[in-house]
Amino acid sequence: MNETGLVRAAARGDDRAFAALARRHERRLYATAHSIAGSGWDAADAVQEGLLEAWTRLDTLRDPDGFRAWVTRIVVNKCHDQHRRARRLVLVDEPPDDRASHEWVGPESALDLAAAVRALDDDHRTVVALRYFADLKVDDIAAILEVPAGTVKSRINRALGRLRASLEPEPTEVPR
Amino acid sequence: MTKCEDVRDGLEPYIRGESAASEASAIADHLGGCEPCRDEYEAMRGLVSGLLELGGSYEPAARWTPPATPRDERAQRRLSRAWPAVAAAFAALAVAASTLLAVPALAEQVTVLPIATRIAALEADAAELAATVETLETRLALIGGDEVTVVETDPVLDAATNLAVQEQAMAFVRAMYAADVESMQALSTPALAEEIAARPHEYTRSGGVVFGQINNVSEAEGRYWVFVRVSDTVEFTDSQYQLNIGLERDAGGFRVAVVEMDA
Ligand SMILES: [Zn+2]
Repeated sequence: MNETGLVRAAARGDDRAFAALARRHERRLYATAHSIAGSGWDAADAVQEGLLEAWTRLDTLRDPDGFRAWVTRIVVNKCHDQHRRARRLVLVDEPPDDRASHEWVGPESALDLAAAVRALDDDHRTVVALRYFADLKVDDIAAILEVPAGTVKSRINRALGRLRASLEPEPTEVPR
Repeated sequence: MTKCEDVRDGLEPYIRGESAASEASAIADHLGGCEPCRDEYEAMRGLVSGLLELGGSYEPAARWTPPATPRDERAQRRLSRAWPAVAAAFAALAVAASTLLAVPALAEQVTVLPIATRIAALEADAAELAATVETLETRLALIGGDEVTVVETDPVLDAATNLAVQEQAMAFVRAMYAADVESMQALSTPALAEEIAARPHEYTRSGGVVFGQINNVSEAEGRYWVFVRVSDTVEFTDSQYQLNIGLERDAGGFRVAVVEMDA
């Protein structure tokens, strides 16, 4: 079934359709949250909480074609909530456990790029996550971040420039 | 001639296929004649596809599992929350009747037109309707006194049946918005009439309704379906939603057996 059909079926209460939607989006949602939240388990929590909220509020989504942008926005908000909570809390507990929150299933050759993205500052890392991990349109990103579309575009271009600079091989000394 | 700097600023959306057509062709022209920009484009394209791939490279350990809340309970909650949101004073069926058409001008000009024209007017529905562009035509029809745009599908039903089920469905929708429980029950099968008596607030709403169009009429296993797109004067003023009205034939004509709210 196509995405729109799944969203409609899920909105009518079909939980298998929602599970299929979650399956379809959870990798990209996780990658996005991971990039924004910083820690893997925080990202996992944000995705689970976000999907739960999407599941209960699906009837408020007017345009089924907008599901991806909508659920991404919910997950991003969960990341921001966590950030606010974290600032109020002094963590004394151990991290939840030492299982990995995700498995890397990409090619080894992409690890450098992943590291370069992680090294970007918050604003640029966030825009890269929304543009490429969540795969959203500029206008959707602008709405989520509450900044003008022009700002999103210039952040994307700047982020791409920085990524390229950091991936370029160090210039080697050429003997004269 | 487009400047190199402008081209480079526009490369990212160009690669993603999101440039306006005129800009895309200007960039394509420029890339054809400017080698440094072409190199830049190739490098950018590699980076963009690498980043897109990165988004699928993390397999989260935690997978979605639906909570244990019974689905029915949730569906119930969803329905009763959605309906009152749609509700408002029914003041304006008379008004609605005169604002039925998204494009009133069409009424004066033509009675049959390619659906592509309608799509331009009904942007919200464009994606959904585009798939059927080639086979469909729209027609303005007077149904139960309301002028409604009807999308004609392959005529599986004879004209009399077609009109009868549509009239019945429209009458039912009008009764819903009039919060006229008695009329709704009179139009319904006994089973639905009982259901309406038990939970009237889930079926009635008071509010102006604007009939957008009848999307489809079909018949399957003895049940006739009329898909009515409507918007109303409160909640759905800027978009339409669909009422799926299922009817059954009985001795006296057609009775509404089921009503669903759809996106
Ligand atoms: Zn150039």
